[in-house]
Amino acid sequence: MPKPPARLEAPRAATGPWTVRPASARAQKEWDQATAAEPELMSGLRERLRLRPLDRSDNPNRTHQLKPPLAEKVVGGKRLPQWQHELSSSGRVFYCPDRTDRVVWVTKVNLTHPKQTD
Amino acid sequence: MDLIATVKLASGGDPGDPCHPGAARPLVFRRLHSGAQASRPIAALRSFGRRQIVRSLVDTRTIVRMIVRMRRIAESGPQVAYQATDLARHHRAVIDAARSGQALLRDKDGTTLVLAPAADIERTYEIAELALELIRARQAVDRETEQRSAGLYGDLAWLSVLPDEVQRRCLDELTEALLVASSGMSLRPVELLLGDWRATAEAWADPDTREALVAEEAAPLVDVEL
Repeated sequence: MPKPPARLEAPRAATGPWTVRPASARAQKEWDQATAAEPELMSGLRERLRLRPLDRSDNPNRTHQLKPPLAEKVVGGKRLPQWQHELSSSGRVFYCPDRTDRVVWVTKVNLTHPKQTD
Repeated sequence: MDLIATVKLASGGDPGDPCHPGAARPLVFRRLHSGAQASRPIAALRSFGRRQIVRSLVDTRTIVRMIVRMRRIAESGPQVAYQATDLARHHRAVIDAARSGQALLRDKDGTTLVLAPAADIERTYEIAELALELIRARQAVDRETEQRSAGLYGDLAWLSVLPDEVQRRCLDELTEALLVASSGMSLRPVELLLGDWRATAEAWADPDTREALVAEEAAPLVDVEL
């Protein structure tokens, strides 16, 4: 008797809010420190990452998809694209959106990013 | 054909008039042929041929294609020639021709002016400016490492912090995007691409950030929600 086809895993929700998680203990510590220093700014950032981490409609644009050699990062064995959002003139948050699981992995938070390229 | 200067068209009092200062697409006159000081980006493009500024044949061809395309944009549209007196007698026809592309106006002394949507001219200037920046940066990248300085990159000085092969990739991508934009497409993708590369260079320039971004995260905090 032929085996019945394997049961397919239920498709994950393609919409709805994302889950924001730290990619490392260091990232979590940086997030907590930034939240203590700038609670309103970080609250807005959290909502943005939950609801529209891939939105690039700001004008001027403040959300960037990084290019090589920083274009991708391995998080938990998955190679994910790496993005950056400009919190303020000097604040930056880096994150890796996992579209499959709808998780935003925060990789670094820096409220006083040195602008060495200026 | 020489593009020399831009002069604002004297506007009427009707806010619905496209020449009114508050109109969505203000029109400008561009003066053709001799007489005035050349506008910076276009004049710089004209001097392109007099300088040997790109070593690579492929790069030279790319830039020339870009310039030819920009000139086509500048010269495109119906070439309807009007007399200066038509501004008073047939102003609606002149304005309509300008709005649909460009209208030629011949002054009494033979000077030819072009009336065109300001957005079209600004767009041509933006493309020309970035094309020049790309040429300048390409020149810098083509130099030996010890002969370079960040200043040689002009407005793209931030590019100098990235590894050589990445710099070339950045310039290739920007050139390609600009070529697409110059064919009549939106400049928005070029702006986004510039922002992406600049953000990458900025992150790469800071050792702490670079280290954090290239590190592999083998054990992400799967139970923690921020």
